[in-house]
Amino acid sequence: MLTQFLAIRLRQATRIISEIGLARTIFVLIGLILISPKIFSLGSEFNSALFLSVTQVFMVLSLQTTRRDKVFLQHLHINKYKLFVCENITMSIPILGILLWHKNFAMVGCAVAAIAAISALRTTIKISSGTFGGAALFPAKAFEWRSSFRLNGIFLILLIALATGFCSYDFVIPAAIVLLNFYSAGVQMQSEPRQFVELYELSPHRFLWAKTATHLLIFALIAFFLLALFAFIHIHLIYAALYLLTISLLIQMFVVFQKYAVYTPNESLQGNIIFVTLIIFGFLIPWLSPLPLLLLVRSYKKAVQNLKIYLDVEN
Amino acid sequence: MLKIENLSVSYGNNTVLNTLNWKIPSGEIHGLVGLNGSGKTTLLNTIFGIKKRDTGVILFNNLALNKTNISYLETVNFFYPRITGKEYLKLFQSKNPDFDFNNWNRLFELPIEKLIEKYSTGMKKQLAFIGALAAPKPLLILDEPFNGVDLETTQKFRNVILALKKSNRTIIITSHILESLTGICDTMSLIKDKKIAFRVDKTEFGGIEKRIFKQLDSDSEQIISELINTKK
Repeated sequence: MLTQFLAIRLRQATRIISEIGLARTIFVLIGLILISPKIFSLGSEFNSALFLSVTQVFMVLSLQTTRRDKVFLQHLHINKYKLFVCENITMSIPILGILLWHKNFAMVGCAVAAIAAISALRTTIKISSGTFGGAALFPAKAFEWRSSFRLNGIFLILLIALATGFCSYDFVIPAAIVLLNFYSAGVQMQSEPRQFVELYELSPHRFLWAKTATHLLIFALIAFFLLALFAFIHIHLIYAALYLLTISLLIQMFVVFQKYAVYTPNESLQGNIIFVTLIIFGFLIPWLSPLPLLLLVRSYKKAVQNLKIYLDVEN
Repeated sequence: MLKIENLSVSYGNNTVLNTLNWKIPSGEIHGLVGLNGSGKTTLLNTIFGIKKRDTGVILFNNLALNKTNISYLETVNFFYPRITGKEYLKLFQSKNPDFDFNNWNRLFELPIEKLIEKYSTGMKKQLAFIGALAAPKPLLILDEPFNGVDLETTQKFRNVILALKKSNRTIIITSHILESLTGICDTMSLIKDKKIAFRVDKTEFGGIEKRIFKQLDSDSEQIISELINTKK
């Protein structure tokens, strides 16, 4: 039964990869390998390996505690623990691979042990509006942020709290900003009803800029606190802070453009994560620097074309 | 009058509607029936403009139909799960300040302060129905509005639809349940074989069931009898 289930999961994964594109997936994996020495050059070998491991464990933890198939799986005669371990370890292979490549065997052991322990978690974190009322702070038209914050705002709070707590290490806040970029990208990957697009009654161009402005404003407000703290503590790295802010804003522009480039009403846009990863790599690997800008222009054009279906008045 | 001429729509190589013609007068309620996969939703999506047509013309009161004339309630209603009913309806109010969702909710009594993910299927349908009525547009398309709602809500929907007709709105409704349409519609059309097979008015509603199911009954009776015999 477990083998059959894993085979189904594997087929699902191959379908996802074929939807994203095999070439793009390979490109991201190569990018990951190329970028790893850069990550290791940010701090000491130990700190870099620790950062990668903690990030991966943190991601597995957030997925494990929010996965919605636990009730469904209860009805199957299957060893859930083994299934979760297999899935979580498979997902972590790229990061574990990098750690192995850099011969951080002890860190790999710790990460695998932590992932195995997390896989035993049966609880599902569900945050209701009653306990997480802060979502109302987001403007009414930023419904993606409201919905997302209610769903997993605790991770955003934790991220900011941890980054603030460990801000004396110079790599912590830049790492937190990268994670914040992924979090904010996730906000724009939820499925969106058609009515929410039509409601604006704007041309595709104006709609896109209105959505981008709202998203960038919220992102900048969150990121500004961390970057100001970083610039204050590590004053000699103020240009790094400015660079991070600039590329983060470009990444978040891309996130909105890409969302509407592939937008279909009521469909989740999780596949966009691969494009976001691509563009982040593009900014971090010098010889790939034209790629993000090309992707930005391409996704904008595609978004305008796609939005015409929903926003052009003429049928 | 809504006038559709020579409408053809396809998904890749699969033609779903083929040179379809349909005329329906303004200010009336029109039922559209058809079997699953017959192209009802495709027709409605094309009228609304979110499905591109291969050929054909769609006119409303002799002018090209555009989205500003149409409100559309889809079969499956989707919402961001972690927003409240009130937040959802407020978005519509921001576009049309005259839309008083609290007044509408006096009729449906939804727990609009709660997250939509806590709503039942019927409650979500009611919320979407209120949203579809937020802007007073002359053409209202309701795709399976009675799906998943209880008897009381069905009656409320029917009363609202009849009241909208009185305010001279043109309404198109689809349903799998003929009885839910015969009580309120002025005309009914059957979509079959990629075209509108026939259109009948109120006086002919009595015989519509026989016309639709004549062939279907004889086909399915044979299969059912074979199945039951096999089981024996």
